[in-house]
Amino acid sequence: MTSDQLIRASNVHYTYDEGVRAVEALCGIDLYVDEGDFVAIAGHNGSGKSTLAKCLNGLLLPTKGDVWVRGQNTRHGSERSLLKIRATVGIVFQHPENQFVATTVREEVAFGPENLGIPGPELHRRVARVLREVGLEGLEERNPHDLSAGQKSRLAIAGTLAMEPHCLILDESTAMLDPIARRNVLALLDDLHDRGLTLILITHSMEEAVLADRVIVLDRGRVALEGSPQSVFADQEVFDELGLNLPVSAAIARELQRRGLYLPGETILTENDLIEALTERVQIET
Amino acid sequence: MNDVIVSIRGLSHTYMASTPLAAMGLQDASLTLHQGEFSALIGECGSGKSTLVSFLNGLLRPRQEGHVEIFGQDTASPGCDIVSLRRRVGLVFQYPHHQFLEQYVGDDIAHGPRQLGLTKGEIRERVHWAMESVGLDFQGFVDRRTFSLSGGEMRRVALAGILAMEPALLVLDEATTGLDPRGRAQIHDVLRHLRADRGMTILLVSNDMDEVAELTDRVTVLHEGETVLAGPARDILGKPDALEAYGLEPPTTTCVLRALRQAGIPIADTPLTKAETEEAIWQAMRP
Amino acid sequence: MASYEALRHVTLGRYIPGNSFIHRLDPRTKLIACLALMGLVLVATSYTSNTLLLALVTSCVLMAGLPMGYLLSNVRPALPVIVFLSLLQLLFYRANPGAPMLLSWGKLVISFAALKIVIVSLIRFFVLIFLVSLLTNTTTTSSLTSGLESLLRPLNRLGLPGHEIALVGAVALRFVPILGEELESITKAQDARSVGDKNRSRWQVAQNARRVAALIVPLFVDAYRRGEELILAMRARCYHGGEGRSHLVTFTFSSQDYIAFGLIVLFTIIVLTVQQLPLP
Repeated sequence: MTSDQLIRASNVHYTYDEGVRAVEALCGIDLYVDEGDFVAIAGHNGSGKSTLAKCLNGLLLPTKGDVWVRGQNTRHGSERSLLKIRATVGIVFQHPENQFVATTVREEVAFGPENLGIPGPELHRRVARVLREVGLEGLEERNPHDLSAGQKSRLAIAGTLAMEPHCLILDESTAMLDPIARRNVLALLDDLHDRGLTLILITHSMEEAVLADRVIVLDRGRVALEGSPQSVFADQEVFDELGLNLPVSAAIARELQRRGLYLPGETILTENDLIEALTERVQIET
Repeated sequence: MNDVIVSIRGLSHTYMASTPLAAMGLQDASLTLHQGEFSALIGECGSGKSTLVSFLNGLLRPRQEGHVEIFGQDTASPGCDIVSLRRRVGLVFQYPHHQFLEQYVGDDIAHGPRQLGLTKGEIRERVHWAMESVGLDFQGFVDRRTFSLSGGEMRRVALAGILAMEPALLVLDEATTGLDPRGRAQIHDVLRHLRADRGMTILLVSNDMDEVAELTDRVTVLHEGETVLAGPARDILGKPDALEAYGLEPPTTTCVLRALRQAGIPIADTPLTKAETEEAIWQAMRP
Repeated sequence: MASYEALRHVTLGRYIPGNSFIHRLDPRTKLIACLALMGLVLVATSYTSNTLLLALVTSCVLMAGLPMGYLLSNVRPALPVIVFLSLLQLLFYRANPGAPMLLSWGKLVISFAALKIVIVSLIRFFVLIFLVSLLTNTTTTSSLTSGLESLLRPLNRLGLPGHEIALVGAVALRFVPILGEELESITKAQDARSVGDKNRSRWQVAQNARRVAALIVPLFVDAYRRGEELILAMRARCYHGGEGRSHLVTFTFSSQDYIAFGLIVLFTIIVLTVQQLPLP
């Protein structure tokens, strides 16, 4: 195992026991996440991606297989080491509203570090710093309930960042946001990643998945595709078979190429890629 | 014009009026819908879309300023027949399970028709048709429990429950938000069919501009409770700058086209959908 | 028209911003004072002591700058019940034989004692409403729960879950507005589907019962789901009970608080003394 490996999962199975029938959510997942990575885990609802996310920081223990966080197996060890794992790999869920414990923004952010027993002065410093990082300074005394959807989402992220994790998992945290708020949150994530935070983005939107350095596509509890966004999108047959949606720009580019329009550069994924490729082509012609 | 079915003018609404917690919902909002149109109502989060929609079937009625006329009825007047309004205007909300009234899918979809005094056969026919329209297999789903369904299935059952009343106007309030692409595409197909086969008038409340660009032909934009833009989808969505000024993210297609025009590539007409855009680019740049 | 603003008339528990003497008090002071005064309400039975209490809380409400009409709107939904209960008490209270009668007209007998009970109960009711409003409308939920936690914390040393009790209270308070909005959303969504004949359905008890069930089920399902997500999110943020936790908010009593305590003690002595004197 290399020293910069943050998370490793090996042959992870997870079965939900629903009384009469057992539902197999994960059937043998292998993956690794290195320090500083930006990984997207994509797939449909029911593909097992949320279950996987919860296995990666010990909220769920695999029914079979193992997960290691910085070499520590989530299955073994004391409560102390499990707390350490959860403080190392933070997770933010889909509905920020359901995650808030406190009734002011300040206390909400402090909840995680309070649990870790961070003493007073350091606690105040952390809260102030994290609120500045996510752009919520000035709202310290507000009730989280009264914030806008985008602000709630950033507050949920702040609440996890305050534990100073090495890795942040976002479990569909942007699904319910309007496009502008989503873009703001994604820009924030990009910023955090630039500052060295490892990111795992769980999403059903390919528009978001292309932002990552590496995409893992899950289908019915198995890894169906894995690689750079370019390589994942390039595998058109498998991609279509999985019924995933191509981002609008990528779909237009693909259709133009199919009709015989040459587009320079790499596989087109985003709006900017498409605009760049088309303008570049015009420049080549003239 | 006499094919106007909804006419809302100068509407204002304040939540929790005359309390210290009063909050503005609408201020000078207007909305016009014509028979057979597929319209979209767009606007930022908190711009008053859901409030405006609640006026369409009399869930809210004008208390302050404003005139609301739905299918020729003034909903402010005490004599307004709200029941007949609800029969004609079907509202589908964002959280489908809020709308369930019965335990089983079949019963739930039949809930509306049963109140209309139809015969058993007619009710069955309606349920059958509604389930088929939303792509739910009758035999496979009729006896399922509503709360045991997946998110996408719940949305379709909620939609079927409204369709079974055969509304003249179908309103979907963020009915695709949070769905995965597969679930979203299924709802889109349903809407396209309803429009093509039945000529149903549809109002889609959405914040996904790509969805609005693909589906609708008229757009109304709300901003801080006020109607700021209204017109053919092509005109409104074709001006990305104006949308951005109101805090909206314009559709990918018109953004790409704007960038190409700025780069000096001549794009003919005003393409809007994915297919139109691709064709326009092809025409402008074909080898 | 149905009102979809479920919480419109609930002013209890809603913070109304201000900067009065009462707003600025330490939440622990307010909690203790509120408890002390509630205790006094139980003890006070005479007209005089109750009038004193009512005068005190009313002047506190005025001092805190709370809108009186808005507080009273809390009472409106309960009004029919209050009137009904008062009437019952007035008519059926059995005074000692020979006690002075206010009215005696055939079977209809109203004693002065009954009248006193009714009036004192009404005063008590308003005093309690004002007290709770004073506490919750001048204190943010967060300082209220932090204050409660810091008061209950010594219990942990005795092996009682002081921190947990305060946390449960905080979470419950946090969910009130959420569930209120949810109820509003469910009512709207379901009303949009009730297209039956109104006059008929209103009187059908069975149908109304079904309607209530249809409202409660989704509300319950949502509350349960939210609760589960909250637990998961709390565990993800390393929550493991009150042990070893640090605290962002710490309180220190200021001179204002000592003044307030002094006033409460003084007032308590006055009321208890008045209670002993042969006043009405």
